[in-house]
Amino acid sequence: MITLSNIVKEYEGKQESGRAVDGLNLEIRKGEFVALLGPSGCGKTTTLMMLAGLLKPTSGDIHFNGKLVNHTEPKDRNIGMVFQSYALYPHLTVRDNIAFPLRERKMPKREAYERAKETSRILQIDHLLDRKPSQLSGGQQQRVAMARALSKDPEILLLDEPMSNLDARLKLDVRDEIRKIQRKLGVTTIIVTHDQEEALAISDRVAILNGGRIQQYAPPHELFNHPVNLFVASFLGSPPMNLILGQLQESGGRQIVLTEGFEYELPAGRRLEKEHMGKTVRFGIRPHDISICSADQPGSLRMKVDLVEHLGSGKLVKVMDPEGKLDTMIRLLTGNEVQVEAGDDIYVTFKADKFHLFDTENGGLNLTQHV
Amino acid sequence: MSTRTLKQLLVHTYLTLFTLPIIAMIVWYFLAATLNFTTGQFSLENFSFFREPVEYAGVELPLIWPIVLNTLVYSFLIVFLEVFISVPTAYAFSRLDFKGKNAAMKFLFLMRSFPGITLIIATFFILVQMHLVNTYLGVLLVAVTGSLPGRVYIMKGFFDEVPWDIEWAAMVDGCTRYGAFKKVLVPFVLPGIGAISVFSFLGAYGEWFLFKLLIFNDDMLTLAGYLARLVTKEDQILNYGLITAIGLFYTLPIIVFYIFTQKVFMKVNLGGAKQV
Amino acid sequence: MDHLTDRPAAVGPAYRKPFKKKIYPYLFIMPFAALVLVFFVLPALATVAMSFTDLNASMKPKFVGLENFKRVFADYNLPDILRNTAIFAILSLAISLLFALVISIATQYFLKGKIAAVVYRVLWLIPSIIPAVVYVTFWKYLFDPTEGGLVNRILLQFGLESDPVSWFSKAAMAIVILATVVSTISGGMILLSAAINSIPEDLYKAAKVDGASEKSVILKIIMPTLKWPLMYITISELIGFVSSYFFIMLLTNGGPMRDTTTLSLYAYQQAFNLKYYGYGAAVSLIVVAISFVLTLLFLRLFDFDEMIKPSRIED
Repeated sequence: MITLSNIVKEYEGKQESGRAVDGLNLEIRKGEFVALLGPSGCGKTTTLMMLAGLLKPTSGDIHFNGKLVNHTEPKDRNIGMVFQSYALYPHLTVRDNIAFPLRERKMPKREAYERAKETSRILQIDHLLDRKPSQLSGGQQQRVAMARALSKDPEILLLDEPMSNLDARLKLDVRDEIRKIQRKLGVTTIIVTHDQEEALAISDRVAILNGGRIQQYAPPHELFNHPVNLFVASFLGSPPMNLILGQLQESGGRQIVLTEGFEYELPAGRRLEKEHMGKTVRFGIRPHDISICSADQPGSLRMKVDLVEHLGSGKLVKVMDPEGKLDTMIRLLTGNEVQVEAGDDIYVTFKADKFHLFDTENGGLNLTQHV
Repeated sequence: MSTRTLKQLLVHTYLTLFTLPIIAMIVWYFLAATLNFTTGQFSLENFSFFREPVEYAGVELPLIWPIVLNTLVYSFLIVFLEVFISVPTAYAFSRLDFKGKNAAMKFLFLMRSFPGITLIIATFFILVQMHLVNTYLGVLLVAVTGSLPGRVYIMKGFFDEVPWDIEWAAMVDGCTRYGAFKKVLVPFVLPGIGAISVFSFLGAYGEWFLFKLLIFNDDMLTLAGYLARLVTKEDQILNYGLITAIGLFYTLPIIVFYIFTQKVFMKVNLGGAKQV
Repeated sequence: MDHLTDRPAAVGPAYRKPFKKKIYPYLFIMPFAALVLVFFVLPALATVAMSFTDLNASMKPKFVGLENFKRVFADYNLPDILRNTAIFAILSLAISLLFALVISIATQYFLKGKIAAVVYRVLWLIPSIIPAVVYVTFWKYLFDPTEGGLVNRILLQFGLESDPVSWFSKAAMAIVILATVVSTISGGMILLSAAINSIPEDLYKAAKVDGASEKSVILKIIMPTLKWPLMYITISELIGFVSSYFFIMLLTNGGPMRDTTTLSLYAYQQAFNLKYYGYGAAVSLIVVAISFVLTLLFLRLFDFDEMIKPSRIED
């Protein structure tokens, strides 16, 4: 088990000073696959570097299995690591690259080579053992890097954007394979990535970072369905969630969100506490939670179609209220069979159990979330 | 004829004109060394220095072979010292943090561009005080100090190019910082070490000034110092045959060496200079 | 929820580098630092100290205050020597810059990628590769004052002169400059070539499409890229020409009379030929001062912040 408590990392340099990580708490269970996801500069790589021991936290504690490891040397942490550039040793053959961590542990050469061979078999690169890294393709190099990280049987595997240099198709294969191997070996794995699709697909839990802090740490579906705040909501999902500025109002026992373009009544089961009334909020709804309906359906809203984009699997429709008063367009997804064209007037409804209301103050807290 | 070929022709003509003196120089060395000056016949009499000590314009110099040995020993020692001092220094400047690094780095730069030769009078006296005049150690130390800043600078450039990923990987894979330096970084910068070795060797091989100033025994000279004795003896050279013959013997190996390593010489860049 | 908690205060210096790790980097630079201290810093201080003494062959130095400097400025040789130094440095610089520029533009632009370009470059590097002592014999032969010298032989052959010309007494400075220039061109040439080489091919193509002439390609595309390299070469070669005297020493040893004696050679001669070490040190201190000013100018060409980067591993 890995515990990060109250980690702060300050840089003091001429160009880059400030806090890269600012009070971070994280717990990772044994054998878990965790992703650190966030925009660039959010502190995710710094966190990984601190886990590896290449950087030291300014304050806070890192525990591996209950043991404080803040100042333990990287070599004494029993970690394997795969880098974005793969960082293979160019002067060594694949065999020597994979055996390098073993040889550093004073394992006899023959045994190390034997182990290297075994590991290379798992990753299906045993036919490349005598090559130099420069003679390998990107995908092969990635496998060698994985093999090198796994050969010493690490307790923790750290992956730093391991797939960002692969082409899209290969990425999918490698992603599945990494997941499979991780399951098989049961090694606690932490991956840093800026690719949300990758993070959501591969990991048990995802920590979303921004500004050096964890915004939400939860399994992928929960992040997607129950974002705790505006950042998580806007960061996850493609096309992104619609976030429409409005105001919460209560009149005659009804709670409504009043936006520039429409009025939406909160359904009975999802009413909010009275204290929230009058607040300026963002009304959030994902594009696939909006559907086109007929005019007579209760609660339907009239919209004007501005643009239709064909995505292949469906259509992305961008709509505006008829007066064009909304601050942003609303995106919605429909099937290919639906006939819509730019300029059409249509009626839409929001799925009653899928919308969110985010406070515009207080860190963008999700008001519909019951914590 | 198109304007393009005309232009090319023009460029070639100019360049050939510029290059002619250099070609003439090379041809002359061969001719002067192998032709009898008076008869114009081919002869190898100028190469008698292989067998007997040289006597020229009243200077008597020892047989050349021990001098050749001195040259090789001296040159390789310089290469060895410069590599073994500049590589760790450049590594520290490029990759380690220590107090005073910025100041030290600025001083290194000052030294690199500042001509140490202007301090030679005082250097001489310091060597006298240390009893290092007329010893190889003295020449070695002064020569190495003079060229080290340049070597360190080039090497630092090579270390700067090593991706941090590689060093991180080595640390995670079980190396200490020193282990990573030895097992991963040094192999990575081998081309740089090759380059500075070539520069060191050529510098040492051509060093005549320090031998003229600091070495008084003729049998301790290197080939450069040996030739300098002959060339600076009189304002006017009396026997070109002998001097070019020795010169040819001395220069040919490094010309061959140069032709094989010439790519290295194009690698020197401005490094940290702005906007280049 | 942790994103709502206040910023935790950075708790003091939690980690202190152990002593072993603190001194570790110094072990790497120690041999270098020791050499620099003894053979650079110490001589620099000693030069200053010596210039205030009358140290000479008797080896009994006495403090004489500013006497040496008064003597320098009263030295009747000084105007000539300063003039020589200026002529030597400025002409050498101008000629070598011009040739470096012409050759690098020719090989990297007009003959870009051609084998001929490599051949020219390899040939042009030879004067700086071959040892100085061998190099100067060619110039001595070329301008040999007897009829055996190449120039004289040609002149006599074509009847342009009836007697061999004693070039080294008539045009010593010109010969010295010529020899120096031919061997220094290659240094500048390499840097300029590298800079021209870094110009993207697309720029030339765009210029061609726009119908630019060769002249405007050179003036508007190539020359602007060479601004910094040219400044670099100017200052670094100037430092070299002012301070070093190796070729002069080998070619003319400052003669005839003092026609080719520059300030730095004069300092050397005062110290090692005449054994006026104190006076020599005072003269060389002037060279040191000039070099120092040029060096400081030179350092301004560098971006130190760009060059000095912190380690990305914390141990």
